[in-house]
Amino acid sequence: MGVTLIHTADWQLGKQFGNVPGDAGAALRDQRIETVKEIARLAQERGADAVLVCGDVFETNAVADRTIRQVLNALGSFTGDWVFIPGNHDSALADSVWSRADRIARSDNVHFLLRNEDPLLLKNETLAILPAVLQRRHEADDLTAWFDHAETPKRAIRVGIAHGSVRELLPDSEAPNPIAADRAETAELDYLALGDWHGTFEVNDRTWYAGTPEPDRFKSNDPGNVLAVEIEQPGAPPTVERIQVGHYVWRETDFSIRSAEDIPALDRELTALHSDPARLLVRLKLEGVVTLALREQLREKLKEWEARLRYLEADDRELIAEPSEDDLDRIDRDGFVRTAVEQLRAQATDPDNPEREIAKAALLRLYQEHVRMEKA
Amino acid sequence: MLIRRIAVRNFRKLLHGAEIDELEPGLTVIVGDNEEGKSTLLKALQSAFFDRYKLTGDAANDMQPFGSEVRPEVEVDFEVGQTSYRLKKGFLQSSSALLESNGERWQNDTAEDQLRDLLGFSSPGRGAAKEEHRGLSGLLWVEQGKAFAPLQLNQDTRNALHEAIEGEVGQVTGGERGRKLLEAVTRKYDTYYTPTRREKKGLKDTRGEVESLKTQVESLESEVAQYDYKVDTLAKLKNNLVSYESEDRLSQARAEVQEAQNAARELEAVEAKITTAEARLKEAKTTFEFAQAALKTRKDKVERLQEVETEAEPVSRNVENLNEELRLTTEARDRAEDRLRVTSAALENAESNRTAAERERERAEITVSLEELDGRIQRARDIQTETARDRETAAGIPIDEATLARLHEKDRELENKRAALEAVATTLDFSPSDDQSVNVGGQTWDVGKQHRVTEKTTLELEGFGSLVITPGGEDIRARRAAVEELRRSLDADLQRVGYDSIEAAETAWSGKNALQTRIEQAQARLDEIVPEGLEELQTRADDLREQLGAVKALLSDPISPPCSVRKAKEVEKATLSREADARAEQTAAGEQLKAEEKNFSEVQERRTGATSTLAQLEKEIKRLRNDLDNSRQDKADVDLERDVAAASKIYDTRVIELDKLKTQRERMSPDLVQAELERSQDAHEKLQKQIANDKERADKLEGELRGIGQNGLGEAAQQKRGELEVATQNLARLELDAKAWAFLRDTLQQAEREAKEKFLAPVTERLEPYMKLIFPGTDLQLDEEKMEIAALRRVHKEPFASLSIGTREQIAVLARLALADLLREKGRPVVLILDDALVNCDDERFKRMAIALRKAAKNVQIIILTCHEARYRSLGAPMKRLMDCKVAAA
Repeated sequence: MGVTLIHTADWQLGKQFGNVPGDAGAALRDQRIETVKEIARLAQERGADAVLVCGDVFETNAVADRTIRQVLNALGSFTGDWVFIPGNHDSALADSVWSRADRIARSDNVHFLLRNEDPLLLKNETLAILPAVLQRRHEADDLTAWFDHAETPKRAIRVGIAHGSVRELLPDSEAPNPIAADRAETAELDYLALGDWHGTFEVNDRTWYAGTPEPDRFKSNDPGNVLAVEIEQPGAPPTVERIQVGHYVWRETDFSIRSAEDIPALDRELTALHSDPARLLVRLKLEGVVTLALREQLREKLKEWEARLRYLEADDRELIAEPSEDDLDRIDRDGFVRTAVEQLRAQATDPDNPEREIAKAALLRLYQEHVRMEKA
Repeated sequence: MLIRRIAVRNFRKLLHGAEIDELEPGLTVIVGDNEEGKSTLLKALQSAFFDRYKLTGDAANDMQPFGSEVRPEVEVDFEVGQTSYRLKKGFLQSSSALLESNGERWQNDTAEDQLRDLLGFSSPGRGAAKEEHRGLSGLLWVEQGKAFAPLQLNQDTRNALHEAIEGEVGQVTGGERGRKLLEAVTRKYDTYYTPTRREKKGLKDTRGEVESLKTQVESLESEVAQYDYKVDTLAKLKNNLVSYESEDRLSQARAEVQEAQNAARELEAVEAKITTAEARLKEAKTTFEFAQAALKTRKDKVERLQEVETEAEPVSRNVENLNEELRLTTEARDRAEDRLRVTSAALENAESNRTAAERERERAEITVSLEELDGRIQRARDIQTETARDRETAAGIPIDEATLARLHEKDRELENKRAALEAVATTLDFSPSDDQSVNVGGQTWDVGKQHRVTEKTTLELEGFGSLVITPGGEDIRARRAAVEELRRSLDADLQRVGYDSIEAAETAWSGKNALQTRIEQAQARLDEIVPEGLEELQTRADDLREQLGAVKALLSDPISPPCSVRKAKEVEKATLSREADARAEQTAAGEQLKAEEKNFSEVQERRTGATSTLAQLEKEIKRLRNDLDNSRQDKADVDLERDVAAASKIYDTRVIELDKLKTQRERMSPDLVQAELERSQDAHEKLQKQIANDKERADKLEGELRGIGQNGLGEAAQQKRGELEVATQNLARLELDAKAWAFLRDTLQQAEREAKEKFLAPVTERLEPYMKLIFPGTDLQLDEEKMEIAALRRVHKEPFASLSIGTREQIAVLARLALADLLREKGRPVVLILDDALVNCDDERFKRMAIALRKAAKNVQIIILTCHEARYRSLGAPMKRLMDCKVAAA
């Protein structure tokens, strides 16, 4: 009598990662389809009754038909029911990715729920799916309100499926498309599957955000999971299991550097982020005051990591290269070069100098050039 | 360094040797004539210090005096620091070198090595030592004729100077590494910028890429926005369609049209009734108006007849009055005609009397005039007769004025001739003792007076006898002949006019003149009496006589003698007065007749007019009466009045009918009915169209959107946004890199420039006092790289090579003084030798150069070789003559 559901959302297919240059961007793009395949495989493996995909399946309504077909193809290995609702990115507008998808042939187990107040009954009417369908990008009203008075067969397990924000619970959420936090209770739902929030998040024991199965940004709110939900019978509390399916790991790390000893520490920190650096995308925020020599060392180190990681975004805006006497002496002890170095240093450290940053960059380059000449 | 002594033997010009000793610090002048060997002395010093003792070949042979094979030897005593040295060198034969100091001795190669260390110069290797091998002396020992050349520092000197300067200002140039660093930085700079700091391709391309991506993103975003807009539009259209359908709006509209149409039809029916009622009302009105018109016409006719009859009455009375008036005026006119006839006859009589009186008066006047004229004619005729007689008498006298004048002329000539004859005559004075007489040709002369004899004269002297006197001779004869001829001519003339003497002629002439005067006086009198001429007077008299005849012919009584003129005039006046009275009377009668005639015509005219008017009026009365009678026979006046009353009643009924219908129509609000009909029809039609339109647009949009969507517009826009972000960051990075390299290059270049300027400071500082002395107000620019004189800035910057030889020479010497100062201060062994280095100076310049040399010589030994003894005396320095220093070859 019980049901097993796989709850997922926010696939954001067609997301381009154009700001991640080169192969890394293409790999991120392709991986999202691979992860869908992984979900299908998992659902099949778990013998799930249905996979509920809670909106934002597509990054935008204007994705290419090819992307739609890729998604439909990726569903193949799960023979249970696929239930999709639109989200704010792919809302069921007058014309949408859904109206186009609707025209593409698909197997009977794939359901696009595009109308409100139209429950979907599965498993011989023992599972009733109540959809809240976004027909606009932003709704001021709670589209799940109708769940409260939705009629379903007595023996059916009532599951709501919606895309929006439970404002009072989600941090920093001022998003539209509100959903009442107690909807599961007021509508006597056995489970309310939500999408929109990219991290896995439990609103209450019957209400969850699954989060995106494939992370797509540097935000550490527990993305990369799907939820396996088991409900024994109507009214029984659901068992919710978090299963990691995401391939890439996005990490944002702040690192302070002060001395040469910190370079190995950086190595350790980056190594500790993940066992497979090829799956790792890192935004490294550097901070500290370093000598030119140390800055040069750091540069070499970052180049090394850049090659090792899937993607490294080093933000050194807070890293201040402060030439030491040694640095300056290494460039030249006297002569006009030394005079120039002193002038550059003075300009680089003068807070009122509008060309401060340029002077700083010039000094660093002088140092690098000097190092290069010494090596040659 | 200080050179104390120089001894030379077998060296070029100094075959027999020379020794100059007791050289002191400061300035020394060594004087030698040309070819005496002063330049040899410098050459010998150079060879001693810098040529290898083992030198062979031409360079070594040149040291030998011309044509001899001897061993050139040079010996120099000098001090470096506090240490004294003696250097001995012999060349070619048993060549050797020896350096001694404080009991130490270095020989040959060792001596030369020691010397090199001591003075700091490079070994020439093979061959003679050239300038580059002479260390500081290459700069400071100036050969004859080379003073104006550039300094040309050799490497040793340059090193020494660098050391000296860096000892003072520190290592400012940065050396080779600094230059390389700058080059490397410049290469980096060059990858971004052109030399004039315009961006090169790399930067430009990246910027272009960003711009291009921006454009693409904008374009894609605009497409997305359009897509979104279309989606929204589609949604609205679909919503509209759904709501139309669900609310059955089209049927509602149709029903409204139906309703409006029914209302319109009812209204139409009422309108039709109104039209009919209006037609009937119009008809009744016409009938009423006709009846009124007929009644009015009848009343007008009656009235008109009365009017004309009233008008005819006074006209008839007037005609009668006028007939009476016309009779009275006819009588008055006849009376006036009679009066005119009577007065006219009286006037005629008066005129006739007056004419007769006029004629009488004329006859009297003409008669008087004629008498006076005839008198004058008679007197004139008498004068004319007398004058004719006188003229005849005068014409009988043959003499005239011209002839008389000619006679007088001839007579005067005769007198003159006679006088001339008498001038040559013999004068005879008689003095008789008694009363004796003298007779000549029978005549007795008066002896009491003198006598002149002009011709042979025989005098009979009483008491004496005769005496013949013959005066003159031939001359007197000719004179006498002339006198005689003239006398004969005069006599002939007289004879011709009929006189025997001039006196007679004159008397005749006087008579003729008197006659002439009388004729003239008569003529004057005649002119007085008849100034107009006798003929004219005669004509006038004839005319008057004719007039008189004519007047007489008209007179009634021509026979009786005329009365006086005064009397005739009185009669005439009386007749004139009577005539005027008669005329006045006659004129008054004419005027009266005219007035009476005018009066008569007026009255007559008035009567004709009045008669005609009366006839017309009577005709009109007749016509009107006929017309009225005929009309009344058709319809009596009372019938007409009955017709009017009946028509009026019918008209009032029709008006009430129409008002009722109109009120009914107003109650139906015809405007609203029409407006509602139009509105409902429009609304229905538009709704139909709107629905059809919306459907069409929605279908079209759906088709379009399907096309746009499947192209992956959203993905493309997102992709480009990402690329733009990356490209923008890339550009910022590149720009920062470019700016940083440019900044770095600028800073380095600036620092290098400043360093170079600073580097030369020690030299400039030492040069300045000398320059101020010789070239005040100028600035000598040195080349930092070559340590060479670059240019002199006076008014403009002048390159060294373009300066005059004299100036170059002086500047080069000054530069050497400065460099010598600097090098000496830094402990370098320095001696300055100038071989006639200041040959191109004028006296003033030389004087100043002398001061400079003396100033420099306080610190540095300066040896001057010259052939200009006198000039260098002014230096006030110790002077050695080469000739005094020559010694016999030992």
